[in-house]
Formats: sequence, structure tokens, C-alpha cells
Amino acid sequence: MTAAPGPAEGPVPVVAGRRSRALEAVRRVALQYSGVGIVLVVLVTYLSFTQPNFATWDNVTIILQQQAVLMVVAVGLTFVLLVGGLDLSMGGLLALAGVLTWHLVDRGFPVPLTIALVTAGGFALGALTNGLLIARLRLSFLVVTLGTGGAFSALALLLTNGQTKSLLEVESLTSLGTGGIGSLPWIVVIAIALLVASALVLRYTGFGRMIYATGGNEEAARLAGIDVTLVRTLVYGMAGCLAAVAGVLQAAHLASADPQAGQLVVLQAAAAVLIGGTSFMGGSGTMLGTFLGVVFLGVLSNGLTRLDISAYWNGFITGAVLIFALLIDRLRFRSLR
Amino acid sequence: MPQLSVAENVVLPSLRHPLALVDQPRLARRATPYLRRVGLDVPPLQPFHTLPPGRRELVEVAKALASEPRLLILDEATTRLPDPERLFRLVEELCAGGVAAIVITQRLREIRRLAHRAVVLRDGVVAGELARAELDEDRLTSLMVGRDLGGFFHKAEGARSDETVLEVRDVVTDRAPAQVSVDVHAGEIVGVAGLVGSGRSELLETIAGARKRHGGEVRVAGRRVRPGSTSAALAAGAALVPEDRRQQGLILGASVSENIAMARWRPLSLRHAEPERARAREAVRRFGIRCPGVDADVSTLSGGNQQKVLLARCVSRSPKVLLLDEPTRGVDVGAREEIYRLIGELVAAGAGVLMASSDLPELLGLADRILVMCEGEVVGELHRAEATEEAIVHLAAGGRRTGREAA
Repeated sequence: MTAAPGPAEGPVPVVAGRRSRALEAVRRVALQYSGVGIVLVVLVTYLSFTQPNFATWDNVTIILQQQAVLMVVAVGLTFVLLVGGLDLSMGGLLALAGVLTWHLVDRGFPVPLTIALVTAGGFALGALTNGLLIARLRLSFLVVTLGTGGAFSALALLLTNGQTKSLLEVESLTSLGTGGIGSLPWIVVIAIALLVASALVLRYTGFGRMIYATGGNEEAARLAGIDVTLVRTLVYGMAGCLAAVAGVLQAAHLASADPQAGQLVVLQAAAAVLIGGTSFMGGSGTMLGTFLGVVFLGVLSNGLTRLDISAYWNGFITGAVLIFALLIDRLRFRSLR
Repeated sequence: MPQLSVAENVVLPSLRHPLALVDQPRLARRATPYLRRVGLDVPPLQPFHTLPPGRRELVEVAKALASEPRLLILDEATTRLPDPERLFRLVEELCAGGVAAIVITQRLREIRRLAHRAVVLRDGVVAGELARAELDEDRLTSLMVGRDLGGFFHKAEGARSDETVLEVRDVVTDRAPAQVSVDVHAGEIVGVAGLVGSGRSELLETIAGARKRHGGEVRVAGRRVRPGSTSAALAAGAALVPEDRRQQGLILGASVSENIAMARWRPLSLRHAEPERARAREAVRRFGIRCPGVDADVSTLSGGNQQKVLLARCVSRSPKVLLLDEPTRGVDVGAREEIYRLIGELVAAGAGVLMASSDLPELLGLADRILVMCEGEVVGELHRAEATEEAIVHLAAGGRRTGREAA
């Protein structure tokens, strides 16, 4: 009835025999993504059989193009969720970045310099506001990012007086949304490249492993000599940077800078990341999961349009799948215990 | 339930009526007799989270009493208690009143003190059962280990050299204004004794940079260590094995190999999993860690093996000073012996060890010198030859030492 939970003592089961590592890896991946995986396979199979134009390269391109901005935000959000936080300000920063892009180009800055300035600015804003307030002063991430997000979108509105600014004549920017490698637009190429690079950073750098350790057990990470304040600050900086990239891509894609552009994107990105199996508690999750989550949302909305179902069902189904993925996750953990 | 009052924590579980209005004074009246029985002398309406850890444990016991049990199970209930004797008397009273009690403990003395019968479990099966008359430490330990313990403590005599690896000068921990100074030589084990709350953990964690240092100086092998930074302390060569391995030590859910490797990660370095695993396999061999493999989740290991993983992590940075906080708490006897052997090896290789422990036989068996702390200060220092349990307890309880002056 009472007392300190005694540590589980006892014999360690010795696994009989040795499964090959490859097989083990396949099993782990299959288990890890079974939630979103099942739903995605069912959805794609159904749509491929019933909709003749679904399984075409053109349609794949369209889906990826529509999801590119969301993917970049989701990548940033994955980093933040892995350290056990959340960044609600990414939407506001995305809008601000788009507006700043218009603003600088309007002042005669060359497009490459503009993009460099805006993304660097995104990193600085994320690290210096969210990062310092959350990591160093240990304020609540929900409150801080809610506050900074509101401030960022207000700045975006102030800069344009609330209007949407056209970027149609800035061809070097809009070509990111039209031209590309083969039929894949640059914005898709960039989004996927960022996702792959992030996956590599998470897996193969000390910084990446520190992110998992910090999210898994902050105190233990700190005592093991990891500078968790630095890790957190950098993570919020990267989230800001990726939100800014997403803002630039959005502006290129739509050929305009809309100060209200980012309003729903954070919640959608959070849904994608969580559907992809990243834990809200931090410490576990992968970029592959995030990719699957983003693709799932894209296929879903594409499929609903093709099936002529009201797009309003979108949010309902997203929510249901999110909860389904959590349930699968829970079952998976129970089977492992 | 840390935000609720002590009284609520004690009585609420037995109220069982979600809609009942909570009448705090009435709760306090109901909780008071139980609090009195466990000897907890605090205002019943004080918020639970303001209690020091040793007393929280007593609230747990009071909560169990409030359910008027017929069987009381105490699972390592005394690991954080300052005065277990009181709890023992309570258990005896309850037993006299017809309540059965199961006491789960690592401490042999508690078994001798309390038990009418002792069942020894080893590797999940009953290794033996002893009646009251047969209870002596040798029989218990040999049942627990499965063999007789010859030379339980592996202390390499004469390993101590004159080289000072750790100098702590006038360090002020969170227990200001107390100042602490201590030297540890290469090849020396310095024990830190004291009651719960005497500031042992604060001292070790402050030296390791895990807590803010409010003053004073720490040198490792002559180099000054920047305060408040675990990475600076590690780089200088001071590695901490913290008191609470699950909360402060391990990344549960990560693999054995990652838990060992993490002290060597650098933000900008590339990480290669294969060499990490190879190093982990080496450590598993060297430290005798029993695990299904280095990719196994560290949370599946037993407490003793988890502790060895932490030691392996610290040793991977080749520390000059090991700061060990309760290195064998919640560790079974077999693993405990291996941990002692490892500490002995490290010391023989020239490391200095500063070890806090509430297990007095362990301190007496291992340490060259024992510092005794009380209320944040070092109140005495005993050399191996003169250290006895009585002397330590006397100093720890606040009895000033007479005769030769303390460090």
C-alpha cells in the first residue's frame, strides 16, 4: 500500500536466439507506423481502385505541391515536439516571413538575399524570443508561443495594413512554385530536402541525439553533461527558421504575401506530426512518421475532393485518425511492456 | 497529490465520494490520529509539496493506515526515512493488533529487527525461508547471493597517492550559509555519511555542476571548474552518478548503448551507431551488465544493472573523480558486490571517489575516510581505523565530535 516504488528487480530475460538485425528493423518500422500506415494504405488502395486519375504522377505532384508548406512547418514542429515542447507561433512567423519577403523585394532587395535574410531572421526570432524565454527563463511553452505568435501575426498585419500583397511580377520568386526538377516544383524539392536533411541531423549528429535525450529525460540529459538550455534554444531557433522558409515557399506558391496566411497551419502540422507517431511528451518520434502524417492529410483532402465529399469532413476525419493513431500507439506500447 | 494538503492526501482515498463536499477542518480532524501514529508532527492542512522528502514517505504510511488495512505491505519504505525505528514500532503495534505485514527491504538489519519470518527471493523464485531464530546476516546474504560472501568489499589497500584529484574549498550549496571543504586524493575513497536531508546530495550535485554553487571553489586535478555547468565538470574530469537513477540518470526508452554513449556526444560531431554499440558491448562485458543486448531498452534492466549502465557512462569519460550518490540504493546483493568490485578497480587505477551513502556498513567497508554531514555542514571526519557505526550516527545526529578536530 505504501512507500517508495521499489525498482523492478529480478532476472533479465535472456532472448533466445538472435533475429537478424534487418528483420528486427523491418518489424520495428512496421510496428512504429502501424497507426498511420494502416489508414494510409487503406485510403490509397481504395482511391486507386475507384478513382482512375488518383494513382497518376500528376496527382502525386499535385498532392505534394499542396502539402509542401505544411511539410516544412511539420518538420520544424517535430523538432519542438521531440524536446517535449510545442510552438504555436510558427503560423504567425510564417505570415510575417511572407510579408517581410514582399517588403524587402519591394524595397529592391534581390530575391536570393531576401530569402537568406528572412530565413536567418526566422531563426533569430525563434531562438531569441521563444528559445530564451522557454529554455533559459523556463516559462511555459504554451503561453510563450501563444504570445509571440500573436505578436508576429500582428506585425505581419501592420506591415501590409492587413492587405494581401501581390508578388506576381517577382518571377524569380514565383518560379519556385512553378519550375523545378522535371514536373516536381522547387517548393516540393525544397520541402523534401529539408525533411531528409532533418532526419539525418536527428539520427547522425550529436545534436540530434541530444534532442531525443532532452525530450526523454531532461534532468538525466543535463546531469550527463548535455547543455539542455542550448539544445532547446537551438530547437526553437530551427522551428522559427523553418516557419520562415515555409512563409517564403507559401508566398512563392501563391504569388502573394498574405498576412493571415498561417492561421491554421500550426494545428494541421501538429496533427500531421502526432499522426506520424511522435510523442506529445517528447523523446520519441521520427521525420519519416512526420512525412507519412503530412502525406496522409494530403491524400485525405485530395480524396475527399475526388469523391465529391464536402471538404468540411476533412477536419472531422483528421481528428478521428489522430485519435486512432494514439490508440494504436497505446496498444503497441502495451505489447512491448 | 502534491498540491493538496497533508490531510487530504491521507484521508481522501478513503472518502470515495466524488460529490461529497470537502470540509477541510473535518478532514484535518480525521487525518490527525493517523498522522500522530506515524509520528508526523505537521499541521494537517499544510500543502503536501512543502514537506521534505523524508516526511512525504510518512504521509504515504499514514494514508495506508487510514484505509484500516488488515495486511500492510511496506515496499522499501525506509529508504528515505530519517527515523525508521518509529515506523518499526508502529508495525509491531499493528501486528499485535492482528494486522499482517509484509516488509520488502534490501536492508538486512530491518529484517532482523522486524521479521517473524523471512522469505528470500532471488531471480524471481524463493531461494529460502528463515524462521526468526535463524535470522542472521550471513545466512541472509548467502541466500540472497546464492553463495557465501568472502571479501564482500574489494578494497585495494594502499592505492591512495598524495596527488589531490579533487579540491573543494568553502563551497556554498543551496544549504547556505554552510560552507564545505574537502580533498580527495587519487586512489582514495572518501565516504559522505549523514541523515536524509543533511546535504549529502546537494554537496555532490553542486560539485558536479548540477546545482548552483553560491560560493567557494572546486578544482579537479588542479584545474578550476566553472560553477553550475555539468559539461564543464565532466570536461574537467568529475563525473556524477546521481541518487535517483530513473529520474536523474537514465533516458528510459532509449537503448543501453545510447545511455552509455550520451556522455560523449558533441553537438556538431557525427554519430556512428556501430562504434557506439561496440563500446557498449565492451562496457557490458567489463561491468557485467546483464541485458538482452546493447540495443535493449534500458528500462527493461533490473535496478542493479541500470546502475552499472550509469557507472559505465561515467567511466566512458575517463573521470579523475567519481561522485557517487547512493550507488547501491535499490540494488540487489549480487549486483552490489559487482559495483563494489568496479569501484575498487577504478580506484586502483588512480581515480578518486567521493561517495555518499546511507548504508553505513558500505561506507565502513569501502571508504578510507568518512565525512559526516549534518544540516549542510561537515561535522566530523573519521578515518578508516576509528570509524564505527556508533561514531557516525552520533555525529550525524548532531553530536559534536570531541577530541581531534574535524577537517
